[in-house]
Amino acid sequence: MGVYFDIGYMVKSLPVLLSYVHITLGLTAAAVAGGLAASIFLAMAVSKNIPVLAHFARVYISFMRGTPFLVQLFLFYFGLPELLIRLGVTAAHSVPGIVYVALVFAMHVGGYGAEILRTAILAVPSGQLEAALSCGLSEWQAYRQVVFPQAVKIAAEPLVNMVITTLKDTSLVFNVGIIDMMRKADLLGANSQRNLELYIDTAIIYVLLVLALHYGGKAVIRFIGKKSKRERAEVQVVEYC
Amino acid sequence: MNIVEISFVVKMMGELLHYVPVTLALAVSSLLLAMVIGIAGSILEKRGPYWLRRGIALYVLLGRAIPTMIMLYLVYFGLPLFLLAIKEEYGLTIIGMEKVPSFMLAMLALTLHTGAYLIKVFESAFLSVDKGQMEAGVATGLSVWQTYRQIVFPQAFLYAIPLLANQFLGLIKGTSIVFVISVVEILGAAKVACAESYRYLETYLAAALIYWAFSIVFEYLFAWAERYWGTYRRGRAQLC
Repeated sequence: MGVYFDIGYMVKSLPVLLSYVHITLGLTAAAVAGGLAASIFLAMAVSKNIPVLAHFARVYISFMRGTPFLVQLFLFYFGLPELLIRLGVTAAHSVPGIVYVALVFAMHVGGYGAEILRTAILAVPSGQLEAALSCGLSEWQAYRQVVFPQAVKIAAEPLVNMVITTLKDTSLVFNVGIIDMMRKADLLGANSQRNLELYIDTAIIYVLLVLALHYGGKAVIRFIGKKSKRERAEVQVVEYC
Repeated sequence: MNIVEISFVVKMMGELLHYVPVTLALAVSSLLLAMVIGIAGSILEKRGPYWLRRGIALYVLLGRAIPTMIMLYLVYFGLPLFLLAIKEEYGLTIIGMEKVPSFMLAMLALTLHTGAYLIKVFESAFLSVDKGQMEAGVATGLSVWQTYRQIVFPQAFLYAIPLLANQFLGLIKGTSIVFVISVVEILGAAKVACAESYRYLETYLAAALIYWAFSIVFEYLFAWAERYWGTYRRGRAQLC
């Protein structure tokens, strides 16, 4: 058994791979933060049907959801600097690669997030917006205070799933030369010829991270639900008064 | 020179189209195999012995939590080692470890990944069929297996179709990772072409456009199929 599979080596290299986990987590955080910002903008453009922007947003969402992340990664990581240089921006090559990767990642997450938010906004009954507007709220106020809080509750679960998918997709960025756990496993494996043990290590790390996000997300959703109960209670108190 | 040379993109798309059958074969074969896992797994998870139920639950958890890329590497490095171990310990040669083609390994990895999702899909599909259907089937003298096959399964499958369509679209996109174990499909071919022309922008754009076209076409097809089967389902319900 020891010849084929070395548990000692597996345990020994786990901390080494774990020391690269911050790249994975940092990229996930950057992609989710940037992606959410983009998706709010895109979802608003589509659901308010702003002339040119809505068309752009629809095509953008379709492209991001319809092509593999790896292809997007290659297209933008290799193609974007090339495009910028052809446009005469010579500084494009001095930007570190991880910036491009974070950018593509955020764009990718933005496409998926926009679709989730768009359907969530659609799921809020239209009477809510109309009622808010007829009460004299401005459109911005109506969205911010009436529509969005309800949409966020609807979108919470798919958004947690989106974050988990994003985390799993970070296992692809080693393909463009980012040194993360996967790349480190590859490099260590080239020396020791014990790739299986190393990839089992990365699998363990990813499974633990996914479980943490899954239960963390559940707690957040519960918290949002609780808060809404309290809000409902407050409304009742106001009605009593 | 134009900023993006459209003619080169078109030429590249023509070349990359030759590799579409590889992508499709990989996606279709993995989906079919994963459906076998999904159907068997979801039934055994309800009716199998305790240890098997626990095992399936663990597989579903791991299969869904492990990124496809790692699953691919686990199969790629794990399976030959496993075959070698069997050969040297027991003297059995199922298939020589160096003889397993990369395509098979890629297919196996994608199947393992998708199978875990499909167990969940079929589980919910079987749940969507009323319990009375099974009870009525058994009460009329059919065996449990017959009732599954002739009564419960056809109804559950209709429910599962849109979810399967989603998985298939995911699989087509998922096949793009297999170039790392040197299976040449659309993205793999694009990478090879890049090494010759050094025109990353146009080549990857061509690959992206092909995948995009696939997604749009299949999305329309599935939407049509869902409408078609949907009316069929409604028609059946009215008959009863």
